[in-house]
Amino acid sequence: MIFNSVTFLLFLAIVVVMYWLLPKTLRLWMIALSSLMFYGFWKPAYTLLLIFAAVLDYFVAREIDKQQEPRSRKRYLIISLILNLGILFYFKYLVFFKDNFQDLLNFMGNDVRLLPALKIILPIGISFYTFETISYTVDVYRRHIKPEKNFMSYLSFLVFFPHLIAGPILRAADILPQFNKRPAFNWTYIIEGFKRLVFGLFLKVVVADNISPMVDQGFAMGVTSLSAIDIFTLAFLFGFQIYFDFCAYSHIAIGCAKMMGIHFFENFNFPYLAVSPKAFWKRWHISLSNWIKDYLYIPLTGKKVVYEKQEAISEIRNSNSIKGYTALFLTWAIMGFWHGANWTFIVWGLYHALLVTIHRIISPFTKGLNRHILNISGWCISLPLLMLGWIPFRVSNMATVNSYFLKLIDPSQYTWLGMRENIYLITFILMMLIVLAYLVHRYLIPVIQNTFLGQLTYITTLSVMIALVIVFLRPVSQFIYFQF
Amino acid sequence: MFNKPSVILNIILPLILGTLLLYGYSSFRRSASEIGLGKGTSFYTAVHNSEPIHITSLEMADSLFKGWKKRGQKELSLWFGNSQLNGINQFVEGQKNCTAFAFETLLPYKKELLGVSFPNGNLQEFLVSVLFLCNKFPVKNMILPVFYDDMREDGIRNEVNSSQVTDMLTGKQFKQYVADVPSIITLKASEPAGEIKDQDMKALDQTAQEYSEIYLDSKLKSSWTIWMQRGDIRGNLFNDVYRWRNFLLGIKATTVRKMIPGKFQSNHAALLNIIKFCRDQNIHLVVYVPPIRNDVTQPYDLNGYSEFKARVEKDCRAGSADFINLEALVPAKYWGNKIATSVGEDEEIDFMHFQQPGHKLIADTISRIILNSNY
Repeated sequence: MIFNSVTFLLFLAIVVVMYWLLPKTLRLWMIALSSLMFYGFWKPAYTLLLIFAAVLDYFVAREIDKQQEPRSRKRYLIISLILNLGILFYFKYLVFFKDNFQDLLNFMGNDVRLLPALKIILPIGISFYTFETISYTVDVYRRHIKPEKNFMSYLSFLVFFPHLIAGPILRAADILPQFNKRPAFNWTYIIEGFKRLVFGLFLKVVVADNISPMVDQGFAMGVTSLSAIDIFTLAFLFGFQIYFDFCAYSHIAIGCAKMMGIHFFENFNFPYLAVSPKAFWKRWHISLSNWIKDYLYIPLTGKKVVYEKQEAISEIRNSNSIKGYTALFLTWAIMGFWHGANWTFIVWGLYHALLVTIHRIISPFTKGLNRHILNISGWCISLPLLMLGWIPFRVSNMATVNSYFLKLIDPSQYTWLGMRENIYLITFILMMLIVLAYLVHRYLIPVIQNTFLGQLTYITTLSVMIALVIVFLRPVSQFIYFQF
Repeated sequence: MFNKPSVILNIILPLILGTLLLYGYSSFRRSASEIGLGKGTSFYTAVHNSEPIHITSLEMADSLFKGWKKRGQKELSLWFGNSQLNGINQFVEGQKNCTAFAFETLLPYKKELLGVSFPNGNLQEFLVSVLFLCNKFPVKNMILPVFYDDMREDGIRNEVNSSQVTDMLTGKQFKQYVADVPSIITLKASEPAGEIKDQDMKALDQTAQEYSEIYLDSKLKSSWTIWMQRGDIRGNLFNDVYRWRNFLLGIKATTVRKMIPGKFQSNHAALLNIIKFCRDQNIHLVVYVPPIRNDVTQPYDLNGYSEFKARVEKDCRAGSADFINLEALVPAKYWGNKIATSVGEDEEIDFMHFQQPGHKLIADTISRIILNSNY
């Protein structure tokens, strides 16, 4: 089911009312069944995959816990990983590997068609729920959590509809206790959830969906029609589109969960105001960054994962070693590949690894500088570089990525403009609005939030947002992250 | 626990105010054609015996074809254009546009002229339309205006795109004519016929949610006027943003618009392909520089405009197409004003749309060309 639709809003209203009316013992059933229904509104048959993933890891985790011998525990973990990643591989990567293998054969002069053309429909959200179920099993293996005894609790955690399709990527340790506790009704949940829902819908249907046609049209222009300034502008514009789109999804997810008394962690924190590539990834898709760090990067560095509170930690000292850099680049390549089965995504990942590496190398030399100057210059340098990273993420093949980047190193391409004036104007305004939103969020809201002026501003803003959401609410496009 | 005032303030009041805001805003809303053409110019599409003889979307091509067949499949000419073709300034009930005049003039000679226009239509869209319609009709003459300001436009809009169109363009027969026009190469197929036509719901294509959404949407449309008017309200909102932009940046009808190199290049490539296609298919192509107001300074970079006309003329000569310059055809008295596109002003000069006598003048010119053609 798509959030930006009337069907979803009706569904949500019914689910929330029933959730609070039902006795506590039945609420988990309510969550599980409504979530499977939510998923089934896309392709009913694929709910079986979800249930399989839940059953598999529920039992595997219990078996891991039962085993005392490390080798047996590992064996069960490997079974889980092979099955989960195997399913993901089949649906998401098989075509990619088949095509690349075929290309390699053709390159070597062999024109044999090895496999027939494959048409595999990617189950939406598979990358997200696979990561969640893997992290659960790994956490049990690492003895960070005990396996869940109640299957309905585990199923509800995995299929809980607000996060099912595009995150935030939840950890069992954060969510299962909340499901098992099931708090009593409080209007604050509804109010807070409603605010986030409206704000998320506003960002999606009013902002992101109206940036989308400009981005599509810009990228549809041939590269010869674009100057280097246009490429920067398009990178920024797509950066804004994907931010508002994905941030909107996270707001809606957080809002919906909140309405049922479940707390999700924030997934975004003004990422485009980050002063370095490293800081960006602490502010962008935070749940994925943490997941990757805890379950991929730290193990790849060879360090032992130690849990403190809910987060896996391992001081990554000596990360500037060859092993550290290898782990960094490998992690980013995998992270790129997680986003999509295309070389462009791998390049996107490696590009970010390169930015982080450069930052690591440079940062020791900047320690003595004034913090404000460092932050401002860091932002001015990082932002355009981070935005350029969206080019391989957006275009469909490596040849186009190359042609875009080649334009950027040609000085003559900085002397003309190839798009309508509005595009530059809108891009500039969006950037300014993000800065303004941060200033309001950081400095104004804390001052006025408990005053009459604050209440008046809040009601007016929410009213305007509601009006605009009513006018623009259309399932005209999916959330971008649905494809991952 | 049950903090009623808080719920009222935080949920119910914003919901009520938001809805009231919509009712208030929608009471000032303008019609789509008024927004598109500006008050002072009216949208007119010609019909003959209840059959369309002028279309503004390729989806209507079948009805155009049906009418032409029904009338005896006369020798056919197609006249392409932007809103100049279907917009009549200071329209009075009973007036006609140029395609209607030309149609009536040619009919006794067993010739037919049909109109195809898209607002701000660019040459890439005309190329797609030319290929699509010539695949459907045995076209003898083709009339094509080249608007200097529409060389700033780009992309293929939904009015021109459809699965039929994309299927046809990917065929071998036409590939050569679109290979150097990026917007056409990247054209994505619209939903196949018989599936969702509503662009608003394209994200639900082939999902189970499609049915519930269509049902709920139709229920809301039939029971809530605001829901029904959402498309218009969106149009008005965008128009208000546009007017405020013009006001804040001091943009007026007379402001000179700069040419955009990339878009010019794509449109020029499309024009060359139209010329090539017509020559290959033995279609008589007439390219004209459209009428423009001559009593005031034109909102063009005049040097660029002169170079553009010379370039198009050269291209036509090279491609065996006819070229005529009609920029001075419609005298100043047949032009008019339209509602201002900026906040704080009432009217502004309409450079694009002329009154009915202007339509008659251009129709007579085009009709003469077709009658005298021995192509």
